[in-house]
Amino acid sequence: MQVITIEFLIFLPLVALVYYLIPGKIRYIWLLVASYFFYMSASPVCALFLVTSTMTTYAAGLLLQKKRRKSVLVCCLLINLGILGVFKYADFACGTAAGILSVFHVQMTDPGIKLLLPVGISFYMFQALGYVIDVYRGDITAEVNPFRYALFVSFFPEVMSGPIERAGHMLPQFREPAAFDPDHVRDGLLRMMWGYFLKMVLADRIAILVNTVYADPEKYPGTVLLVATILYTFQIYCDFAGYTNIAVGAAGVMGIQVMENFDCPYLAGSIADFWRRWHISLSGWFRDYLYFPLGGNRKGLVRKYINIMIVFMVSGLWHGADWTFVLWGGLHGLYQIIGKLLMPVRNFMVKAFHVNRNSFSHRLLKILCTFSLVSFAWIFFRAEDINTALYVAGHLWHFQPWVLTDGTLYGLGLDAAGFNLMLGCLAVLIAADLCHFHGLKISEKITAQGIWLRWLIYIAAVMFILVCGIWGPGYDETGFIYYQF
Amino acid sequence: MKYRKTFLFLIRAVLFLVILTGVLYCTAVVLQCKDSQYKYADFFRTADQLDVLFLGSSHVINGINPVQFYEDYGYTSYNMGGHGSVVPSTYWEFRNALDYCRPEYVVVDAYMLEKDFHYLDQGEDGEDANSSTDQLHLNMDCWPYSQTKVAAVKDLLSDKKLQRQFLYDFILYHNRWEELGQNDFLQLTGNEDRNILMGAEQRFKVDAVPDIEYPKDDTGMLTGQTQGELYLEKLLKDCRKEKIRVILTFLPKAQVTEEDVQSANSAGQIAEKYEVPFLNFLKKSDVVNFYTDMNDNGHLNSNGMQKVTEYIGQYLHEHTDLADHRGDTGYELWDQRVDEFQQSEAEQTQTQENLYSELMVLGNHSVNYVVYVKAGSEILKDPEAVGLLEELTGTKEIENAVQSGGPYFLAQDDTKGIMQEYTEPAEPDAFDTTAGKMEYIGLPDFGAVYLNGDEDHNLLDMGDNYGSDLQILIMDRKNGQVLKHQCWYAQGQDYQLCEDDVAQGQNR
Repeated sequence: MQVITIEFLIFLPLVALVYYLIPGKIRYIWLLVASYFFYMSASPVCALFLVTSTMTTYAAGLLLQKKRRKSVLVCCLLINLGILGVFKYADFACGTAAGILSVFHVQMTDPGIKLLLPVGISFYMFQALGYVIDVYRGDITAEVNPFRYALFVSFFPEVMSGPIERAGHMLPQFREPAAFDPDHVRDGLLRMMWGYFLKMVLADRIAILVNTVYADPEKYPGTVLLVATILYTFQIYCDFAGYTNIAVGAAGVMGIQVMENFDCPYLAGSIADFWRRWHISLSGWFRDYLYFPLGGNRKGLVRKYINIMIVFMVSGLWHGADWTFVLWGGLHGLYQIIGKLLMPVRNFMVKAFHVNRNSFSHRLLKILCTFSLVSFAWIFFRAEDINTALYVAGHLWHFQPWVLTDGTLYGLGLDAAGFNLMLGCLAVLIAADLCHFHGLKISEKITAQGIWLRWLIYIAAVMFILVCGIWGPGYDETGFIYYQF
Repeated sequence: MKYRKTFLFLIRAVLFLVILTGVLYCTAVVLQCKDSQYKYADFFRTADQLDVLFLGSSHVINGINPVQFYEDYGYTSYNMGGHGSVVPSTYWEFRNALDYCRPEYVVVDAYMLEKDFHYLDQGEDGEDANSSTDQLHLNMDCWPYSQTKVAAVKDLLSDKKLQRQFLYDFILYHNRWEELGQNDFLQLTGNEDRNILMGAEQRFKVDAVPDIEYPKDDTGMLTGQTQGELYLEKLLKDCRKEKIRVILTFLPKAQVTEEDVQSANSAGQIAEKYEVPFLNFLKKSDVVNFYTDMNDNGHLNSNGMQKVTEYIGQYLHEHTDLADHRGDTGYELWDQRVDEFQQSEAEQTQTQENLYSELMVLGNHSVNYVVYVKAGSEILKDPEAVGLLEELTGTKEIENAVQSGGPYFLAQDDTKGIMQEYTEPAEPDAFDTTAGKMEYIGLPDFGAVYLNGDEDHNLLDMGDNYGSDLQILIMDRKNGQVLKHQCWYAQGQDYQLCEDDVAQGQNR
């Protein structure tokens, strides 16, 4: 079962209904059953990995609670990361080894390792490992109740694609569930609706154009590549933020708060700021469990830069077992290092040109520069291989502006109506993010209205998503970009 | 306080869901593809009046005209044929229809009886399967959700996702927002466009050079029991149970394959087994003229439809006791459809852009007309065009014009029951027409048609279109007024309508 299916829209109300009807003390049991049902409906076999990860980290937590032994932590990390490594990276490692050996004229036959990648493994495993490290550090006490802990690892809204939650935030909510509050239900549903809008109306519509261009980029002029790359920047945001909104909303319906994963990332004024706003739960995880243990910025400037590069390249690898992802992560690391190295020059320029750092124009310039750098890096994330990425990166500068007006853009999988609808919806997204950025909560504004206007907006929104969303025959409900990670 | 809030929330939630469902229903109605609604809108209006149902494939849709049926005999019928409809689809079309009507007769065509697959989406090959599945929407979308529809969809399609698309077609049609037109919204008020031919569709092309084939051995039968035969027998059993009488047919085709013959023979055998009549048009070579009545090798054009409808109507008239409803109270819609059909037929004579089609539709008797072919025209050397002119007159007179080189003149006035035909230079006496006294002058290099002695106004264009090969004057049956004047130019066997007339035709 996927979140963009009618089954899920039946499943969620049923789960929520039973959840509120049964006593608070056993609600976590019900959620655990529902979560495993949800996960196994997508991939029954893969539940074995979920169970393994849950059992090993649960046991490690208890052992570490008794005695803080590094060996237990290392052992637990090795088992879990070993599973992740084998199932996610074995093929990549073999391919890389073969590539290196071929440089020395040594032929290595392809072992043909095509292992099943368990759904959501990168997400729930990181969540579970975060718990073990927190217990090891003494930040939290180990959860004794195995079912409650199992729910923490498998909680259905986030098990597939995050957010990668922290035990300290989730376990207390499972221990003492919130009472039924109509406002929670309403807010959760509104949040889900926004998620469906982002995913079905925007991300999947943009995907049609982007997939057309990226399937054969050599067929298209440079400006089309540029447009497709910019649109992909929005597609991946809408796709992932869409899922996150659905997940956060679904949890919210049951009064469970899940952490935010996005905070207007494309309004960031720097790459560092971007990473404080994009996939916040993963950035935080890498910061707390990798960057700080590596020494962070406490061991000198060079070491700091090395640590940044390590974190971002590992982050790239976490996203996918391919060098394109490593390059993507590496680019973000480089952006930050270059940005820091150029800081004196930038400060000098600001001074020399009497730039007001708080002026709108300066902030806009920073946002546009950051957006451009992020968009450029997404090329490596999206392209099928490095050669394609390099081709796109090298050719999108070929300026052929007439493709913007001669109808070329209407021949890339979306007709004029579909393309214009996409532009309109992008304008809505940008406006919504600007409001959020400035602290204006649209949902609060809507819920403050009289009933007829509220309902009119709700119904119009539902109809808009159903009518203009991309779904139905030929639609792949598992097509979330972050599902593959 | 807490419970009150929860209670109010539940009340509001239920009310909201009710309104949302209502809006969703209306949206689904607007977005639904209207092909099926268009075809079957009158079925739902007339279901309780229907005496006959015609079942089968596109051969039936293009072969039998219920409005002509009513016009000629007063029999009320509906054409339930479906494009690409194999016998299992036909069976379920019948079952769905029975939820609304109880006809006295069903006429079932046995085309594609040889098809031996159960599920349409697992048909003979991928393309055929997709096509069959797509075409099934024409026969399925119109039926509201019911047990019969569920059973039909489950029986015809194996893929669960496809089944859902048929049962809840909003899944399929939600993205039609880009193509919505006025008619889509009119569906909400029941004023949408509808098929005025009670499910039938006319085709207007003339396949003047059809691939006429007929196997040497026409005695073969289908081997084993195909799914087609199985479902035909199911249908016959159901009819027996429901006391509905059946007539089996195999409608005419120009290109008859071995499988067609086997299907027809097996249908004949089944007909014998169930003691129902079988009208095998493959063996009735005198009903249609393959050179003038085929749209393509398999489908009849409007001329062919008229002849086959006439034949079946005559058969029912002679062999059944069906009631003539013409003039009955409550059957006004049928009379209205007859009027609309006649009007549409008249319009068709003025909108064709192909000479063969034009000559074919002139035979629908909806207008009076004059055809003039200039002397020495290429048209007189074109056997297909000559054949169509012969079809109009029912004579072979035009052969004289072919020999002499013309000019050729034909005046057909159904109102007065007059047909005048001249095949060589002539200046005959004036004759009576609905328009008045018509005088024809046909010289080797000049032609004229005058009315009531007014020689200042030649109805033929001997000015700008003097060089045209063929001119047609289309005249109102009631008052003889010239509705359209067409001038056709021959370029080999390719015919062009002079541009003014093309434009007028398109404007209509």
